[in-house]
Amino acid sequence: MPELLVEHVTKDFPTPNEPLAVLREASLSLTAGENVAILGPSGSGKSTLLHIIGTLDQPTSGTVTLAGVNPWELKPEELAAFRNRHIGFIFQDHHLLPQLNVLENVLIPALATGTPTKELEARARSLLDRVGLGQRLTHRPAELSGGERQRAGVARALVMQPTVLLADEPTGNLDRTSATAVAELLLKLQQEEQTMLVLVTHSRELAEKMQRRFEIDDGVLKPA
Amino acid sequence: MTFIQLLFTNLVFYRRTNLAVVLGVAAATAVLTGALIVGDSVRFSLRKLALDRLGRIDELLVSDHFFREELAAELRANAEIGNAWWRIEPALLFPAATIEHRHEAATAGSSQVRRASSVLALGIRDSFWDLSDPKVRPGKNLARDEIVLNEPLANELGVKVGDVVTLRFSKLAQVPADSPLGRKTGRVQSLPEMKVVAILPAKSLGQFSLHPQQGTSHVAFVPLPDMQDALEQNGKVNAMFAAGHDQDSPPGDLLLKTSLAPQLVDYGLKVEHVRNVFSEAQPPDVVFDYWQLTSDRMMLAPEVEQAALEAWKDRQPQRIYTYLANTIAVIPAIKVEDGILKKNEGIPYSTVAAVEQLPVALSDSENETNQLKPGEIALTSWAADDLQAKIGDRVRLDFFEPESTHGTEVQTSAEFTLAAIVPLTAPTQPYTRRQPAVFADRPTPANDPDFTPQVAGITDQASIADWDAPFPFDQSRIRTQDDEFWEYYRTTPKAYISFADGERLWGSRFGQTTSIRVPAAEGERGEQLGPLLLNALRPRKSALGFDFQPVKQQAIKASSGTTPFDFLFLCLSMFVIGAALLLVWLLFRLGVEQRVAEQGLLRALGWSLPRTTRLHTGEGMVLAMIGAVLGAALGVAYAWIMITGLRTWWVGAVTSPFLELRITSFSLIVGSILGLLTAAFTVWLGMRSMRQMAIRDLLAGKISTARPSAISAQQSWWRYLPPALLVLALGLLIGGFFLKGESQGGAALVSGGALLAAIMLKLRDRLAGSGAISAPQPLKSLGELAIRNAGRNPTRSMATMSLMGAAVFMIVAVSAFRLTPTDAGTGGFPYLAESAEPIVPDLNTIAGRVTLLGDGAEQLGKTEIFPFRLQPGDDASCRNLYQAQQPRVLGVTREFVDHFDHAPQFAFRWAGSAASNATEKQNPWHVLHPEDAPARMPNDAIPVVIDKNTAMYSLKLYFGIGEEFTVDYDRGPIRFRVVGLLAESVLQGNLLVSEADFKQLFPDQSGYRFFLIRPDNEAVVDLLEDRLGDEGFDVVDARQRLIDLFAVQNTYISTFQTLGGLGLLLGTFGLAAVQLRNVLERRGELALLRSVGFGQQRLLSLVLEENAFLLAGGILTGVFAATFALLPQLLTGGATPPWLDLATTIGLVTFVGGVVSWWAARTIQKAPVIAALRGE
Repeated sequence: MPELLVEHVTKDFPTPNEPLAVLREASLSLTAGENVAILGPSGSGKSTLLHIIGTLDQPTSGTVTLAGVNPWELKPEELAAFRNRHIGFIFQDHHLLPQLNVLENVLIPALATGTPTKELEARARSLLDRVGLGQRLTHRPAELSGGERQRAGVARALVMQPTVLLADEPTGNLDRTSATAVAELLLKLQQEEQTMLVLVTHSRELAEKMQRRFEIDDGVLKPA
Repeated sequence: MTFIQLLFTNLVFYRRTNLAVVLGVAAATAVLTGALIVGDSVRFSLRKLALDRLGRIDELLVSDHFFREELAAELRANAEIGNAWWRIEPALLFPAATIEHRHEAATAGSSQVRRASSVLALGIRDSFWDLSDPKVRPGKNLARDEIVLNEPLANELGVKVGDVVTLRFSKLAQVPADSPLGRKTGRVQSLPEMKVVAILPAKSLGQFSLHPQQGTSHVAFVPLPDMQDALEQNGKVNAMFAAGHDQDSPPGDLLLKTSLAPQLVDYGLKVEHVRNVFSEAQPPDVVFDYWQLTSDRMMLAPEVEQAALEAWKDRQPQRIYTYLANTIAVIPAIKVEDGILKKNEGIPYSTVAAVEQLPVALSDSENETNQLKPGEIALTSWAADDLQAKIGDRVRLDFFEPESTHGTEVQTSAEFTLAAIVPLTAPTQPYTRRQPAVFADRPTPANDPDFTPQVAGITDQASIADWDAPFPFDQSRIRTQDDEFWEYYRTTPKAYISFADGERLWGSRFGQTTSIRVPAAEGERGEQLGPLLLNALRPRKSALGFDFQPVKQQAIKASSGTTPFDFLFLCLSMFVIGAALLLVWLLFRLGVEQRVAEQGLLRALGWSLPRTTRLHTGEGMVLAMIGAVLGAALGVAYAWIMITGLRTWWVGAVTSPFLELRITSFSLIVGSILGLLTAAFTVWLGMRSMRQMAIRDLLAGKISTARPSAISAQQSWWRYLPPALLVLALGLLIGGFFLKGESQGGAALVSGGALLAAIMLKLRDRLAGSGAISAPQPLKSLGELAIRNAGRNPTRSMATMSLMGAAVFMIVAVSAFRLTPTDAGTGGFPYLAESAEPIVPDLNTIAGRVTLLGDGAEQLGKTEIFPFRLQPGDDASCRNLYQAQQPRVLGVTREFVDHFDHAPQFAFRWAGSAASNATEKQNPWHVLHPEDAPARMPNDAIPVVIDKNTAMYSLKLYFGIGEEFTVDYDRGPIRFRVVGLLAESVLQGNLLVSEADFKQLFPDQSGYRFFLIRPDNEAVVDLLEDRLGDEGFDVVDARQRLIDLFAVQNTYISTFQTLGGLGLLLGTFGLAAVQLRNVLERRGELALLRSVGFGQQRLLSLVLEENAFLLAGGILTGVFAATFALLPQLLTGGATPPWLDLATTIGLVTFVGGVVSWWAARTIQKAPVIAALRGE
């Protein structure tokens, strides 16, 4: 029984002349612990697909079902809570808050619905240990290297034990060594947490490490 | 970490931006709080001044006639009064006295006179000073011939201690000047050679004033006996001051009013026993025996008449009205006697009594009656013999109309049928100084000179030749027998008519009865008649001038003020508030936009929109709270600056520097809350647009949801808007040349606003075009690139320029409302004048001029002087900040109204009128004297003309023509109906009613005290002031008076412009915020330019030029639109903008704008290239 089911998703953007179709009839399904890579040139629609799965964007048509729920049937407040509970984002730009230290940044999702519990704080510390930042808990993002920032971003994505991890070019801003390290860490943690991973990348090398690979070409999603 | 901890962490981390937001909120709060404190300060200062100048006085009684000084002592003797009231001081009070000081002139041997009018002169006992502040009293008790002046008066006169002055004040004449028997001139009494022994500071009773006003008052104090002697009113006063024990809580005046028990003598009334016993008869025969009520004012006031009739109703009271007939003649005057044509000129100057009952019964064929029917006359036997008249003859009476205008008596006649001849017994010996006439035969009841009231200068003279008649008196008409009659009969009437005829012919606003008599009962000594009358007078004593006024309470009420200064300063400071809020909005937005990706992240991580919004709004609220608290403190400083301004450079708005800073916790709290709420609203506004943003856009750092419009701007109706606005602007510009006053100002504002909008819309299109990808020409200079950059976001650029332009436009264009004096404001009269004493003779006639000016009469030439009757009262012009309780009233003469029919080149400007026909529309003054109006009922409202500013700002009449309002005057409430509104006139501050209405409303006011003058030559003004100096005739340049009145509005405009400039200055910081935002948005682009070889200075220039384009574009457009709008006023001289001040303001704004832009642009120098290129 797939935990994530994307069915016939289409996305159009309005333009002055005619709507621009970015995604056409994209379908995808994942089960727990499974990971996939989505490849494609710039502007092909892979980030759009990721945003739609992540509930940041709504499809023009088609459905997305995550953990048995169609998130677009939820009210805005419920949708935010759903995103907080089931989705973990990893961005190309780490988006760490400069005013907070590493531990606080990781705990930011916990503040979405209230105050972080002791258990969550312990989990955050544990995750940071697991990503190698156990000694940098009180450091601010400006005091970290690019790789360290992205690892903090991975820890933040996992802190709420999401159903699916969505990674958008997670190594795009990193040098080769750091990129490899972050990719391996990401896969390791995904397996340990038995979460699903959808990874968007240009990198064939990174894609090769995924269980399945898809490619978007002119808005059409097909196995690579 | 908790939500709150995160919020405070954010606040600290972004402290620089947050500090700017806090300062913006503080600025807005400071202005709001400051405005409230200014309002408090004005009200506090008005109240303090009003109470200070009353000293310890709580209640004041001022009567228009003299009463016994002991009346105060009698009040004090009342134990209850003593418990509640600390002092009750009697005094003589003259509110419109004149003081002159003769001093050595520059040329040796000559002297000049300095004169001060409208002086409040008080005759006091030494104990009066206990009512004043102990520090404000002379160092010694006043001796005879000594005077104390207050400082403003001494300064105006240029006198010092030891100098000598002359004080002139009203005699409070007993017979009204408008009565033929009243004195027209010489109604002023002087106290010459009064030595100034002290000059009091203008504090406490040293600035005593009857009318609340914030200007200085002129006060003089002299010993009470000096005034009493001069007035020949020993032991008499006309005022009483009452002070309670507790200064802060005056006792109610009910006890004072009810305990006040004037005696008949205090009312100027006398109840006399008149008895004539013919002692030659055996036993002595009583000829007549009655009690008679008379007044020392000749006429009995209507209230007294009613009281007497009511009190003595069981005693058959008889009313008598004795009047002067210039001639009693039979008709025809020419008779043939014994074949000889004889002309009977009639009897000159006789008293005729209108009676309800003749003193003797008429013989009738059927019954005996002593009542005359209307149209009948009874002659005494003396008169009948003299006229050779017989029953049935027609008899003509010539007499003066009972009310005169300008002291010009108008003689009129009435004819009667001789119905009876009343016998008179001829005395054997005439009157002497010591005893009345002596009769050998029994006199008749008609031998009664007491039918006639006493008139000083006439009834007290030994012969007719000695008469000092106040009316035209032709001595040559007096015959031998007339002299003999006076010697033997004195004031005995020569004829009688019915009381109804007397009432009809001689009744006037002064009354219709000279005496009331009741027959004496046998052995009666009259003890009960006086008390009965006093009892009946008691409920009427207030109408008869015995009414304490709660002056302290009235002062407190008046000090609530006419102008809500807190609201006014809020309005005047709106640019500062607007600019501060704009700054808050921009800075807050800037802060939020800097963190837009953070919002995207939080939302992506599952933060709900409300929670994200709550975080940022919470941060904003904390900043707003800090700013509000800080702003409240700064508000005190702002208020101090405003108060200092009102005491110095804006003093024209309040006329005198009396304001003190008053800080109340209420204003601080309300100001803070207002600041907080306003800032909170601004923060909410700042957050609102962010709510619409897509999360992915937020994550991408986008701060705008702008998408290409589906419809091109060029295709929409918007393209037709700029030309339409331009047409509107031009139309109103042309229309402005034909409009006047505020409508011209309004047209200017709309015209300029339309032009500004047209320019801005066009500019937006051009900017949008310049930013388009398909620019027609390649870039040639950095400046062009700067303009292209401004075109990247044309709406934002236009908004920036529009804000600057609109602010500049408003500041400059508001000059259109600056008022300058015009002939329409003065009605074409170069001068106006007021006199302390009424002027009765007509200054437009040779006779009147000769009477008043003597040999100077000829100098007046073709001078036109239009007099107005005046009821003194509160100044209701905008120069008086106190709420006018009893506004001054002017009585407009028919001649003044008609003048504008014949002199259309002179006219006041009307803001509106109830004119309904062609005559009234051509000359709206006719609305006061409508010719075809139905007869007015007693309760109908009185038509009144008011200056529009007086109506709106002082009297709070907002509904224009037809609005009715009521004013409580001393004689009772009067309801007025607005029938005309003058625009920007020199008559501001007065209620103008017709002379006829005035005489009915204020019967006690005789003569004229306000004048509009169109002189024939320049010497006229000095001549009038010199010759009418005793009457306190004070001439003022009408244009200067208008300038003084306009100074209030003009100063407010200056204040608006100054504060607007301050707001604009603050707005330039907003411009810097916009610039910073632009730089942040385009940091990648700017970094790219650096990467391709642009030096830092070059980039700085680029940003600065873009900013200069926005700043200069806004300012120049605003100045251009304002100048365009003001063209009609500038070309017709109707506006005199303070160009230098405006240039300074705009120059300062440009400079500060340049500096802050440079500061903002410098941020690009700090941006690291690589990071910026990466978009970090």
